[in-house]
Amino acid sequence: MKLEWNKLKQTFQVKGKILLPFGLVIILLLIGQAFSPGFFSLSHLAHIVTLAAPLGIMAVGQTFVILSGKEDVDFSSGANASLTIVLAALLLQRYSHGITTLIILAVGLISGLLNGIGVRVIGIPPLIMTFCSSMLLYGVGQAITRGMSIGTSTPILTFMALGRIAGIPVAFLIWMGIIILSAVILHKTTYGRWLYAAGSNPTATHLAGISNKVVGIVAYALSGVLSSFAGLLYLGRFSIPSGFKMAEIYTLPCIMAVILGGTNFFGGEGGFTGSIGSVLALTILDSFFTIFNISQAWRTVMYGLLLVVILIFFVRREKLRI
Amino acid sequence: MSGVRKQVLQILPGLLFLVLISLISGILMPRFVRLLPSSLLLAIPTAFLGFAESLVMIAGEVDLSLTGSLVLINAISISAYTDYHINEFLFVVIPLVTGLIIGAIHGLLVAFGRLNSFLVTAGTSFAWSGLALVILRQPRGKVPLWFNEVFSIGKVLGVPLAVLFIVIAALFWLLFSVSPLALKSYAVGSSPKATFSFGIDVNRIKFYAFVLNGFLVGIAGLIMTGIIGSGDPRLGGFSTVLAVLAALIGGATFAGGTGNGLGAFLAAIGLQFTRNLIAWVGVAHYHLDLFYGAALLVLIAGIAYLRRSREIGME
Amino acid sequence: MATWKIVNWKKAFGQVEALRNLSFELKSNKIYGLVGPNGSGKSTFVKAITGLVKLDSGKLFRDDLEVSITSPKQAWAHGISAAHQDLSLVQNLSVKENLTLIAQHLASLRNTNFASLMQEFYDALDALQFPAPVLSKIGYLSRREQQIVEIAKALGARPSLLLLDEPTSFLTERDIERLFGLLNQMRPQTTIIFVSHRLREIFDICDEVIIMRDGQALGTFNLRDVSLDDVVKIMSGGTSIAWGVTRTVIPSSCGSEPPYFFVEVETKKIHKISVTIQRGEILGVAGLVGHGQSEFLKAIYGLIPSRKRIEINGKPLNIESPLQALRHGIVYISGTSSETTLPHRSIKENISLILNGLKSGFSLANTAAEKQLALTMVNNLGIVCRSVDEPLRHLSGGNQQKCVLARALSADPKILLLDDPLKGIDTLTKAQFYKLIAEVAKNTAVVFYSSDVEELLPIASRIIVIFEGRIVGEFRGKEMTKENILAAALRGGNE
Repeated sequence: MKLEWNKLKQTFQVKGKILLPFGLVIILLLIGQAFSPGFFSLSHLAHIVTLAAPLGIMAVGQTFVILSGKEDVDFSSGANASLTIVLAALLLQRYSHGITTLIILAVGLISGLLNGIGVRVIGIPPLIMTFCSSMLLYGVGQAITRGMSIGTSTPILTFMALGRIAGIPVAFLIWMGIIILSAVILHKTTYGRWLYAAGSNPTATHLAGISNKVVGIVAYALSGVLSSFAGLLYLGRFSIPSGFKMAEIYTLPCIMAVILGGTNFFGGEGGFTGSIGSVLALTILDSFFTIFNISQAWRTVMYGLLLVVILIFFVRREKLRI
Repeated sequence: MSGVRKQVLQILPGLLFLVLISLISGILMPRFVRLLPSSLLLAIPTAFLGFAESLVMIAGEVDLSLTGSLVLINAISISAYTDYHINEFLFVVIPLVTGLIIGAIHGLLVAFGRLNSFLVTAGTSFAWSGLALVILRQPRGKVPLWFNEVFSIGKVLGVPLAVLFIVIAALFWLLFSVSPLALKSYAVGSSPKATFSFGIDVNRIKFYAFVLNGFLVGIAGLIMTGIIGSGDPRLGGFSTVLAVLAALIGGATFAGGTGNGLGAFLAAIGLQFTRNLIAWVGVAHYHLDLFYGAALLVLIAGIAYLRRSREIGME
Repeated sequence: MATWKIVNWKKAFGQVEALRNLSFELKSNKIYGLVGPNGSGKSTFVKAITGLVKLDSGKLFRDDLEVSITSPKQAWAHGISAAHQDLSLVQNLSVKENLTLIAQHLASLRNTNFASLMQEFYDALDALQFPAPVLSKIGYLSRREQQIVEIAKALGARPSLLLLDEPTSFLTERDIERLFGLLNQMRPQTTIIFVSHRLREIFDICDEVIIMRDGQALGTFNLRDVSLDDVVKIMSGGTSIAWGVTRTVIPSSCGSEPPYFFVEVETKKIHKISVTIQRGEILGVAGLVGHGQSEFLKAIYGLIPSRKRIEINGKPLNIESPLQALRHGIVYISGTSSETTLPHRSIKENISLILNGLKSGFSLANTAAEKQLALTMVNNLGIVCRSVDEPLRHLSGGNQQKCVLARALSADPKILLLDDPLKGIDTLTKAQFYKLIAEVAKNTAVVFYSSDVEELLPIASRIIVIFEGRIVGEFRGKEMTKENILAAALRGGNE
């Protein structure tokens, strides 16, 4: 009898982890509907999805990093996106979309590689390394803009970020496309197996001849590329780059979304499915802040508190006395 | 190796670093010596942050909320005086108490809540800086006259403020390092399970580490408020990273169990001087943060790499 | 001076039941031996009574009064102290600082003078002739020196109940003599529990012995009434297990052919170990724990830096990393599950780990092949599970280790390096492992190190004994007995 109950509990826990964020989405939509009729409607949902897409893309990259190891996390996601916003705006004045995108992705790749090497080769704790590289990225952004606002979004970018094809937000299609591609990498390639193994038990992975270093570096690189790409969507949405830290506020929600979406912060377990729900939930929450006219300052406070709450439920040290 | 000699050896890296940077600054910057009293004073808040961070890292945790805490302490102090007109002689108490409370909250979350310290403090950093913004809304406010006077003159009873604070820090470290709490903190950071088996309440020690940390952050906030003479909710910059780096130079590691508050204090002053140096070298304002960030990263990488090779060598 | 009663102690770690209705009594002024096979719950008992592990249920009586121990603080308060098997010392602090921490604590607990408590600790260190200065950092001390500190820490506290969990594995003969001398002195004031694998020592120093198996106490016996063989019999369940495996007999090599496997290793810990193995041979490696056996295997596998020569069939190989070793067909597994298992990943992922490691990162993963492989292995190795998609941690310890072995076998090894693979595995599973290893050995060469000589005897073709990084003995055929091997291990040479 006891074993049956345990089995039931375990299945529920596993499925539950992924269902939880979607459940939250439903609840939040219902709450929103109560305060603002039309909230829980298809058109509004499409709007939410449009807003959520860039964050969702950053969360995919973050998932790779968090999966890869015990302490691994990427605090430079927002910085990458921020740099992209100003850099792309600048480049698009002179170059084509194709070249601009290539350059943006290259920058993301380089910053990701930098993170990966700093963490896995030199041995700097991920939090410190990615925090420092975020400072560098902001610094580059600051140097480029020199306090001015250069360039704007282009019609193509704006379409990507805000437009619709047959009623479906383009941003959503892009987001889902990236999720599918990433899911293939995660579940269908040998690298994906390596990633899960490295996050589960780096010693065992090393014993099996797999390089934890390579696994980690690639994960950070993927995160760098994806968060840079997300910046393009942000530029499309915001239209004008006002400042070199525009996407800074998205770093924490990105990390929270991954944890809330069921990926184990200590690595080795998790995926993208849950993150779809948690990104939506966080975006809806953010829109609540807008509806209730909550100031930027209070929002920051609430995000901070939200992180603490998420940690209480998802990331706790084991007891000393077991 | 006696206790005194051990202390001196631990403080040495930070001290040497400070001396090195000072020498370079002295050679390259003609007005370095003349400006020393004020540049030293400006560096003191960060120095206390480095000290504070050391305490927490010794116990095996990390505090990334320093920037946010500092800003909040400043905001609360200014607001208490400007908006609520508290007794101006109580003014000095506010930052210290706020710091203690912040430290206690972190302590509760990390020690008793068993939450991951770097994520939690990263989160609270946002919460604190947000609160600061809510309280102040924009740079404003004033401090009590006598308080302002002290900082404008820069001396108390003929002693330069910076020197006074350095002495206070040294005394604080001295008192701490000989206390039973210090030994337990090192033990907790080094081997929490073994320390637990000795019958020591590991959680309580970590809690105390955060409370002390909060108190020191309070001091930093007090001094900073005195320096700028008003409230500024947009303060930020590299405080947290500087503090962590300073703690690292002072001998702390992320694994815990080592570190020296006074060494970190001195190292932090050196790091601030480094920034002045970079600024003076002629780097444009817009490039300053980039170069400084890069410099800090190089330092961190260097320390991490050296530590790593030493560890691997010992294998 | 107190009597103790352990009543119905139960403790499970997830699926694994470590203590299962453990009950026995301890009278004062006696030295009790606590013995039992790997995984019988001895260490769990020690951890529970010192407050490190929380019991699921059970009672403890001291002098017939019920007491509860919910933390190490309480354990100390009741006069219980222990020298733990995996040392409980603060690595970054000095010996003196470690002892200071305890002395400070005890001084306030017992309302006694701090200095006199420290003196007791120093006296204990002196009695054991601790060779290093008291200001040395624990992390810099050798395993033996740390062991002495651990023991002094437990003894010096003048406890009313003293537990020593495998205290002698890193001590020299002289150290053990001195320790026993001290224990004899302490007998009038203390109840002592001496946990050990070394039955000889138990018979030397203890008055009575408590035999544990599978988390229960089978009984307490006066050592004048039982013989060593009796104890072994009771421990292994009354009947001696017919392993049903024949030792492999290797035909002497026909001189001109190059040996199947030749290796010569030199590391910081290993002075020079040189070994030649034929195909089909199982080379047993024995000796006191920590004398370089595990190092030897790890060096071959490229896990640690070393100077070495490795040849398979006369062809020299260059192995600097596990990946290179694997590419040459050398596979390594250990018995430390924390090093080898991916607990949250599925069984089939665990089994396919090495194969996946050998593939390119860009290649596509073949789920069907992984599943098929896992099913085959489950069948051949007798792994008990519901489905190969289950997370590994749902399996029992023995079955998890079988999956690790399956992983090694899936790589088609030419040389199989086994680093204490059967640690903590129950007897039945061990028997199954022997069959499997013997099967595998037919087409490969196996180097099998075990911290428990008993595990080697049933299947090794020959056994080498390593002492302080050197081979000090080699036994085969009739000479391959436990006594000979233990003698060589303890004394560092052939008797």
